[in-house]
Amino acid sequence: MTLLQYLVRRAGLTAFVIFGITLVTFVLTHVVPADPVVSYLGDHAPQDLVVTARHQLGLDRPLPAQYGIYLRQLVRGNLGISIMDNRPVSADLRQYLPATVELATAAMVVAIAIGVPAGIASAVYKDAWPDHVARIFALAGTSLPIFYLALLLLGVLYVRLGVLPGPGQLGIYTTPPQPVTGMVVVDALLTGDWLALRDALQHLILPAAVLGYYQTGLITRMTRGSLLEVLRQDYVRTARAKGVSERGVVLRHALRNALLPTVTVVGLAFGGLLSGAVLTETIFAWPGIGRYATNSVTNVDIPAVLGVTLVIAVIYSVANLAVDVLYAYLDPQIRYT
Amino acid sequence: MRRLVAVGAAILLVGVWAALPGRSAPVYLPQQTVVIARDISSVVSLDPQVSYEIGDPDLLSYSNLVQFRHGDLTHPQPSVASSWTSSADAKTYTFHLRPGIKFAGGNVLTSADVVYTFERAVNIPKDPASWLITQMGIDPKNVDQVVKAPDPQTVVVSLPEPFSPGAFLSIMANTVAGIVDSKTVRQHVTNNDWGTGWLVDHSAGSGPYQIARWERLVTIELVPNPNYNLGPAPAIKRIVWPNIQENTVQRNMLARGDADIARDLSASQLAALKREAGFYVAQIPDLGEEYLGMDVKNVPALGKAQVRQAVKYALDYDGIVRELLNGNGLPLQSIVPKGLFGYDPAMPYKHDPAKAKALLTEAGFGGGFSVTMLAPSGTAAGGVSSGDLASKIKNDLEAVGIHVSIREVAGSEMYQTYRAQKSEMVLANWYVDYPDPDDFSKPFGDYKQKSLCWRLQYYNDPLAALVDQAGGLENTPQRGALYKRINDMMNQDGPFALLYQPMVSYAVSKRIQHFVFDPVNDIDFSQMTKQ
Repeated sequence: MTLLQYLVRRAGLTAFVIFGITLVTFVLTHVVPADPVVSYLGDHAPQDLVVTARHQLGLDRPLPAQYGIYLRQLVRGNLGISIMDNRPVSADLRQYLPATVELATAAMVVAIAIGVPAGIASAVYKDAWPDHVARIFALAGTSLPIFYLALLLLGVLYVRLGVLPGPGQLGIYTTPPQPVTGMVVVDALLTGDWLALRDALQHLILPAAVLGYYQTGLITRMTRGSLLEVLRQDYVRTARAKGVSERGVVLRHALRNALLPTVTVVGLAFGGLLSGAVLTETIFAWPGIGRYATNSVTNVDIPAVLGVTLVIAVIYSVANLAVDVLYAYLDPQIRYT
Repeated sequence: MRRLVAVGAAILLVGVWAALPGRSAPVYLPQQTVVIARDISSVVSLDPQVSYEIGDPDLLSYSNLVQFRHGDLTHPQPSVASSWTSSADAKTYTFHLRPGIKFAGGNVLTSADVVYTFERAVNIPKDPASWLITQMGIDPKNVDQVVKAPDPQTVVVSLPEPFSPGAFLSIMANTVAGIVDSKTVRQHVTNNDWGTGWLVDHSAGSGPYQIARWERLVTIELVPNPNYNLGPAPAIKRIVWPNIQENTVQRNMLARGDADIARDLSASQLAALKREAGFYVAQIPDLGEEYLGMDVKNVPALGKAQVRQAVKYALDYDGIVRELLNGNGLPLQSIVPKGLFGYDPAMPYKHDPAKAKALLTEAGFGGGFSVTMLAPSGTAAGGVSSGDLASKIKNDLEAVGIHVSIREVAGSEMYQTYRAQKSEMVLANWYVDYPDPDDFSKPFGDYKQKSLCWRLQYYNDPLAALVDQAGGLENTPQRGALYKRINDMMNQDGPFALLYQPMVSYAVSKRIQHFVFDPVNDIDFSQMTKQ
């Protein structure tokens, strides 16, 4: 099977999965004992206004009819109108997703830049002090609650030392760059707005470090474990016997094979980060999809919840597919089936 | 490897460059800018006829026929209307408009804009704020007959039924009656949406400010209206509300000087802040109340007035205010809260478990009974955890033999059950919509409104008649006496145990001078200055 055939087959399967997800999410949002109309109109609205609004929103129709309408609209690329802000859900997603993509990408850069070298050092110097340091570092990353770490770093680096800025994507007195992609750093780069770029990068450091630290722990542990296993393989022993330097053995011969499980972790973690880092976004006032999703769920904003779920499902599917394609690149023995 | 080193060095260089202190090119200086850190997640639109949750940006961007001066929520004052008259039957109101008032876009405000504002309020579909206008009998079918503009400076509102004059004028001061520039809004109507799609993040008013930027869940930003001529231009030129949900982060921003005012600090954070030199805490009683509602049908025991009184005697009001709220609330046993006409300072119920037990025995429930209490997740009025408050109430009631099961659920779930008359006991709160006792006595006392007492299946016709009678009067001693009677009846027989009146608190940097606020107008920026 060629790569193209494989991609087409996977896309077909993904469409099936997404249909199932929309159905499950639709049923779940309607069976929870909470009323989106009451949530939207508030406690003070009189009962007749609630009844009228429910009718205007089409929520008094039978569930299968509502789902049918939703699917028909979805096929046309229409994700519906948010109950809360009366805007198309697609417009909301276009607004909030770029900030999350920016944050997740920065977090993954942090995680890979620290996690892979730390994992290599940990494996090469197994049971020596670099290994102990890397293991403690990784353990702390995976066990410290994100909200605690975020508040701690904000307290120290922002409040006490004042070396990094506080919450938000930009400072209050910085004019946002002209929107192009919706990602502030990228837009500042594209428009040559260097003041905004510097401010945006400064604001990105803390949330990216907090979010990336957890993933760093995972990547360090995964890289260490798989590299140790590969270093015990016969071909590695052969390479050493041929007189290849230790650095060459590790980086050229062992690392490529050892990175396979790490790629899986990175792919899935990236998908997870894109689906919304709720706590990080809340604490750092980051205008991403995580906060939008939480707000939508809290308010039972059914179209918004369905839209967010759909996007997350697509992101996960694409991340999984990218991992599988990368596998074959890293290990030519793997074939598309 | 060399590539790895190069990439690493590049990242390091960018990091170092980014970490250098940055400069920006602000349009307004920090001394002209006020940053208010608060949770603005509930704001769904800045359209004055739709906005319902946080009114400040609309109050500052639009002007109304009348307004309340800061600190006086009893006497409406002229604003767009220089004077007005009302008929003896409380049905016809005639407003005379000031000439020459300009909208931010440059158009002159006339009576046609007032008429259009009423039309928008009753015609916008599923509008959360519309009921404030429609409760007066104005609807899409009759609005053109009810609200008329005989000339450009006169507006006549002829209500189909009498409506409390105090309540009517209070609603005219509400954001829902913020007058929009009809010419500008009409230019932005798409698909018969009455301009709601455009006004969601733009303004077309004649207030001292206009909306410069709004991104839902992110930020609201106001800048001056260059054509403002209803009063002197404020010294503060830019107001920013970043959406900061975490109160610890609000506190951090205040400490670093990135925020000038914080809105949602906890009682303990406020107490700590009072000891710091650079800040002060401004507190006044909010126009709201936290209450325990008792369904009189779903729980047979609660159908008896003695049992409801027993619940009221079983509660440790002082403990709730002192220990849970840490001073962030006041004792309250009046349906109309402190600060409004009709407030009754009497406190007939004190924590008296012995009396509660005696009343239960008298009612035939000496062995106690069981009840499920619904409590919303999150915080209750005054910033206390709703779960903590529910636990305290459970302890107090169990001490007299009433077994309480707490069900802490999302607000949207709780209110669905409550509205469907399916609750047994609810922990909830009610805040002011318009500063008139009518806004409290109707939901709490008149079941025909299908509001709070109706949800608890408490149908008291004499009480409803009293509420209706009091609502139709001006703020006279006679009206005051009626609210006293209403309050007594509610305390003796009603299905609500009033717990406390929360305080509204702002933590303010000492850079800010002349900080004045009240629960209806919120912060007054007309006098405010910043160092």
